Amino acid sequence: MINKSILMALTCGVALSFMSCENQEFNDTYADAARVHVDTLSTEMQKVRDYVPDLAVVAHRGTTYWAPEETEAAFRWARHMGADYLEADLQVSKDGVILALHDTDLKRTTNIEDVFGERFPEQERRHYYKNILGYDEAKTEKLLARDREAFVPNYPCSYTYYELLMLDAGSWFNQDPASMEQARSGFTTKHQYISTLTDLIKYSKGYKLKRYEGGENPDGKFKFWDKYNGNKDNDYKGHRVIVNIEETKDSINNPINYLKDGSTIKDAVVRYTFEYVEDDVQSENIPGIYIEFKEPWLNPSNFEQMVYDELARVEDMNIMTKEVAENVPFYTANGAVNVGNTRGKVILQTFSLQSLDRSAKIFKGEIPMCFLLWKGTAATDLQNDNPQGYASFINMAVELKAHYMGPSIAGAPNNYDELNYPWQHDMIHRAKMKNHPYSFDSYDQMAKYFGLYNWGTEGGTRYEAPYLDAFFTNHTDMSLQFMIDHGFRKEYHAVPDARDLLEKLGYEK
Amino acid sequence: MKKHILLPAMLVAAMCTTSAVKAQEDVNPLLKYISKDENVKASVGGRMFADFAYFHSDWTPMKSGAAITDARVHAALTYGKLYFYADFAFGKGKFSQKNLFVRYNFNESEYGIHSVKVGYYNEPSSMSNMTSSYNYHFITRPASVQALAPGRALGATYKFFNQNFFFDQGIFAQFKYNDQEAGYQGMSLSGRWLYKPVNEVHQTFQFGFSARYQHFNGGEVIQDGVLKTDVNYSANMQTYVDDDTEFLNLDLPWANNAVTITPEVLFRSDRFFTRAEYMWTRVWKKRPDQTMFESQLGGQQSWQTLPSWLGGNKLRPTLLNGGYIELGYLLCGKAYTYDQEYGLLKGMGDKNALELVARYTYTDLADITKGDRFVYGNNKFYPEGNIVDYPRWSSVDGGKMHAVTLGLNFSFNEYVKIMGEYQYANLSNVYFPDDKNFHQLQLRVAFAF
Repeated sequence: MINKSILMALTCGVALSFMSCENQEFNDTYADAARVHVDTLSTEMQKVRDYVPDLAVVAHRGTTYWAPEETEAAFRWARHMGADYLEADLQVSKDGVILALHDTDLKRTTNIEDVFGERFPEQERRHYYKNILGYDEAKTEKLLARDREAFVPNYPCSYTYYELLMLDAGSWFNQDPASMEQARSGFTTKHQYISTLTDLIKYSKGYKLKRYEGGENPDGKFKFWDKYNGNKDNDYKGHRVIVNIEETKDSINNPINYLKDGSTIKDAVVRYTFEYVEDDVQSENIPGIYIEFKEPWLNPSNFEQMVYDELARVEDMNIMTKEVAENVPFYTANGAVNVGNTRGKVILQTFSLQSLDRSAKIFKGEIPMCFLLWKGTAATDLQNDNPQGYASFINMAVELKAHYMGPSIAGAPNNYDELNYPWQHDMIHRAKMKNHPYSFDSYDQMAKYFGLYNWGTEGGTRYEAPYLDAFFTNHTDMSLQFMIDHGFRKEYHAVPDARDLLEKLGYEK
Repeated sequence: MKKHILLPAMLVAAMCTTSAVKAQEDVNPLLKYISKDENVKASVGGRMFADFAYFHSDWTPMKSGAAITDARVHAALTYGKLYFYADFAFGKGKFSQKNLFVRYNFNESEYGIHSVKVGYYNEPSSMSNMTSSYNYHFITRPASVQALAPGRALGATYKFFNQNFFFDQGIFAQFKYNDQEAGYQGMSLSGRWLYKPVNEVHQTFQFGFSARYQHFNGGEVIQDGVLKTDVNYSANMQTYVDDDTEFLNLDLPWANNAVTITPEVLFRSDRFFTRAEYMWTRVWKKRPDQTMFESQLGGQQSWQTLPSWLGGNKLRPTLLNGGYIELGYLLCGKAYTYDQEYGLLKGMGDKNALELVARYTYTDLADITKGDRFVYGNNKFYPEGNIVDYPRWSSVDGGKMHAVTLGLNFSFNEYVKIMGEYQYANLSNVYFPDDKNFHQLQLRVAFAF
């Protein structure tokens, strides 16, 4: 019996010794992040990745802080301030105009509630079909009946660009509690329109809208700026100059406007021709544009192809159709931004895997592309932000020909989920991609991700600040000054004062 | 002819002697009271398992260590043809109710024994599941059995067995405390039927099958007029030392009916046994589509037609399966023995017995449509690999595992045993993308009285 007891004790002892001799195993995010597999960009993709300057400053919607977002005012401000890129969100109007507009509901950033309310714009649509596109009575009424049945208010794709031009995209900024401290009467008096992709490109090239000065007899053909825009006295002064509006042979399937039988409606693509003039406020900065494909299910299925074509059509922005020399510098000798003249003049971005997939087929990885990350459970969101989940999205991005990851960052005022931990930044680099986090609103965020606060040192020597390669900021002024002050930006001109610049640009307080 | 009369008679005799007292107990009870005058037999007893385990996994850590994985007390009473049994567990510090039943042998003859049983106990099913953990030849039951075999339930059964046949079938309630959130509870019909062409003292060969029909009813009310049912299938990694992470786990909402079929075979000789089972389960689902479609109407992004809603909310039956084969060779000890009453191999309990065992287990809780691609970052399947923002899939994955176990068991006597095992398991589960290989060494010290 003694022998048996010894046998039992020995057996238990052997088992326990197994456990005590072995290294402990427990969850360790840093270790997991280092060992999880990530695919890597090909050499060709890495070359395209490097079309973009390191630590590029991307002006998020131009600015959301100093001016009404994605308007002429915001984009002009950002270009003059010295941003490397003007960032914008792309959607498509009912008549196929590519918009630079963030919200999929027009209520926040326009006065649509004052102009159309929630009603179908019957008069305007009839005028558009009959007088602008020149349809006969029967066709006009037929289309009106169809549009009336399928109408869903407040979606940008429910309105023609003709109707969207009647909206004021600037005045809300002066009334919104979040921005009213930066209110300027100039954002109202100098009418701010919902921008188009063409507008954005023109702003990046140093143009601004040509506006009527008064006394002209414009729009005789279209009667555009007439009573439908509230100009009962036909005072066109200050409105943008419209040269032509014509129907093209192309058409799009409207993704939102369904008929009762469940079928979607097909709309003609209409081309608007506007006039622009050189910005009278001098600046040599030629930034690139950083454009986002918004939700594919709210836009036509050939959305990416439409953007491809528009980039080719306007200012030779499509480097796949118009080559750019390899050695064009990102900055001029006197420090002005020159990114808009380089191969990196356009960066594409999307939150959507579907859009990424379609872009890969059209752009073939030859134009820089960023896959944005947002944590959540919606259609395009990252649900598992642990190392394996994060890696799976990186791998999808590599497969679908993206060059950058665009994670959200934490911190006030937005308090997004943190998807840019140092280990996540490191994982992006392991994939040979680069990291473009969004969006910076404070000095604290700049200091944190540029490494001033010793953040990331808890991971040992694995990580090295800054934890970004480019970044989206609503405060281009603050971000540039931070980078200059801390030695991250060598090519620079003096950073203007944000308010002085707005005054100079004509947006009086 | 004599043999045909003699063996059933022996069976009846066995039931009527003290061995009947241990009908449900793991061992012949040490603490017992027998009164022939009052025709009463009573016993109390208990058991404990202490398990030690060392794990090595590819990615998700498993906690090596030691644990009291089972501790129980039980009481049994035989009064004439009535048999009462109750046991309770408090392993891992958690109290749980185990068996509580009464059985009545209403007909005992040379042709067989008929009995009815009422209470809370294992539904007749897989032979692995019917075998007491103490008498099992491995530290745990196969993962396939854990996942797909029923557990204990409140119900009633009728059983008949003799030398060549074993029939056990009954009806059971879905929830033992009627504690579903809403709705009437469901029920199940279960049975196990065996034929034993060879059933002798030194050798047994039997085959048959068990079957179970389940109807799920109780659930939660997720909106007016919509009762959502659910069923879960899960198993541990064939260890109780760390079963926190559910590597094999599948929830099936909207479950309505399920059928499980389990063919089985057992061969036993004095020195050798082998047994195997294959389990096949199909779960049918039911959802009030029209009600749910109508309730989501009214939004700008609502599904506008029922067919489109159905396309975006696919639901189809789910097919699960698994199986195992177990082998044992008795190196030292008298012989393997057979339990007539339950149609099972008995546990090893000879003095200083030593056996070598091996097992292969296959568990498949995945029902993935061919061509579907899974992205772990957003927990979505993409049919045909097409990357879209709203993929319409119906695949489910609770994991697929192959495991090989080698064990060496030693019994000091009927009451004290030591079991040792090495196991290699290979897992495939989209929710554990980097967990493929699992190695584990386990040791169990078990006693019962």
